Amino acid sequence: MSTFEDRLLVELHNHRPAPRRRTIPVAASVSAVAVLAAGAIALPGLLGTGAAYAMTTEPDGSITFTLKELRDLDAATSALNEAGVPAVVRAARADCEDTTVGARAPSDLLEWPVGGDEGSVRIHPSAMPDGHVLGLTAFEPKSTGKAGPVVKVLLYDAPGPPCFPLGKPGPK
Amino acid sequence: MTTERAMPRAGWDRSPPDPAVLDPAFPDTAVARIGSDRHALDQLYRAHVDDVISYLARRCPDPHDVADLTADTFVTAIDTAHRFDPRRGRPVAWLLGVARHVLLRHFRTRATERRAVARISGRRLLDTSDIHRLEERIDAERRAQRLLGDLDRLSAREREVVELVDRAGLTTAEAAQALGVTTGVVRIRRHRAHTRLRTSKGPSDVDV
Repeated sequence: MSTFEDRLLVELHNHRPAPRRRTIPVAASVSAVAVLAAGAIALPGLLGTGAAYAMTTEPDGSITFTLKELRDLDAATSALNEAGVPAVVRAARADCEDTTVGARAPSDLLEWPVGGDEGSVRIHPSAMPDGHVLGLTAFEPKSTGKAGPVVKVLLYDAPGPPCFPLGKPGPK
Repeated sequence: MTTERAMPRAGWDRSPPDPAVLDPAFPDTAVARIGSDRHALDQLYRAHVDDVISYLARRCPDPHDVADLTADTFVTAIDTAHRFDPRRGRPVAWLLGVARHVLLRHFRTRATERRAVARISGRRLLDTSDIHRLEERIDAERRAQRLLGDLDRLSAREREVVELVDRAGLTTAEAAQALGVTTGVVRIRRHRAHTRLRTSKGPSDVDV
C-alpha cells in the first residue's frame, strides 16, 4: 500500500524544474573576491562599458545581486525595488554627515557569498521586515588594493538615511 | 511504528545519521541532476525524506502543513539543485537548509497565498492513515524534544543549532550552511546552548 511519501515521489517525478533565470544584464564573466568583515563584499571592477550590476531572481523568490562597478547605482536601486526589495544603493560620501546607524541584516534575509560565487549577495524579499530598507553602501577600498567596489549591506528604518558616510556608522 | 522510527533520533547522539540509507554509489555531485535524472531524485528523496519530515514535524503541529512543506521543500530542491555545492556540506545539510527557508516563508505568508503558489499540494496526497502517522510523528518529535532537555530555555537561534547539530547530526560547517551564518556563529550558539542546558539560565539576549 502506498504512503504519502510514495505518492509525493510520483508527483515529484512529474515536476519539471523551473527554468533557470538568466542574469541580466552581464557584460562579462568575472569572478568577484569577497573581503568580508561585518558584511562587506569586495568586487573587482570591469573595464569597459558593460553593466555595472547584475541581478537574478531565483526560483525560490530570492534575489541574487552583484555590483561590479561603482556607477549606475540609481538604476541598481530601481531594479531591486522593482524586484520587491526595498533597498537603496548609494556610494559612500566623505561629505556625508548623517549619523543613522544601520543594523546587521538577519541571516534569513541576507546570505553571502552565494554558493561559492563570492561577491554575490542573496536577498530574500519575503524575510524583509516591514518598515525597513536595505542600505547598500558602495565605496572603493583603499587598504586592500583590490580593484572594484566594496559593498556594505545594513538594515535601516525606511526610507533610510539621505546619504551614506565613508567608514561609519557600523551595525548597531 | 512511527514512534519507534522517530525515537532513535532523540538524545544527545553526536554520531552522524546512518550512512546506509544513501547508496554509497550515489555521489554528492549527482544532486545537481535531480531535476533531470529520476534515479538521482529517487536516491536523494529516499535517503532524506525522513530527515525533512522530522525537521518540519518539530516545528509544525499540523500534519497537513507538514505534508505541504515537505512537498515544497523537494520542489524547491529540484528547482535549485544546480546551486548545490558538495564542497560546502553533505546533501542532507543543503536539503535541511532548503526546508528551513521553506518553513520561514510558510510562517510569513498567509495560507491562501501559500496555496496559490504551491506547485505540489502535499496535503492532497494524504490519506487517513498518513494523517495519523504524521500526527504520531509530530507527537514523537515533541516527546523527543522534552527528552532532550528543556529546549524552551534556549533562544530560537540556539535551538536551531542544537537541533541541526545534536539531533540531525550535521557538522558545524553544514549547520552554518543550512542557517546561512558562519561556522564561528554556530559554535558560539551551540556552546551557549549547552551551557544553558547544564544550568538554569534563560534565553540569551545576545544577538549572535
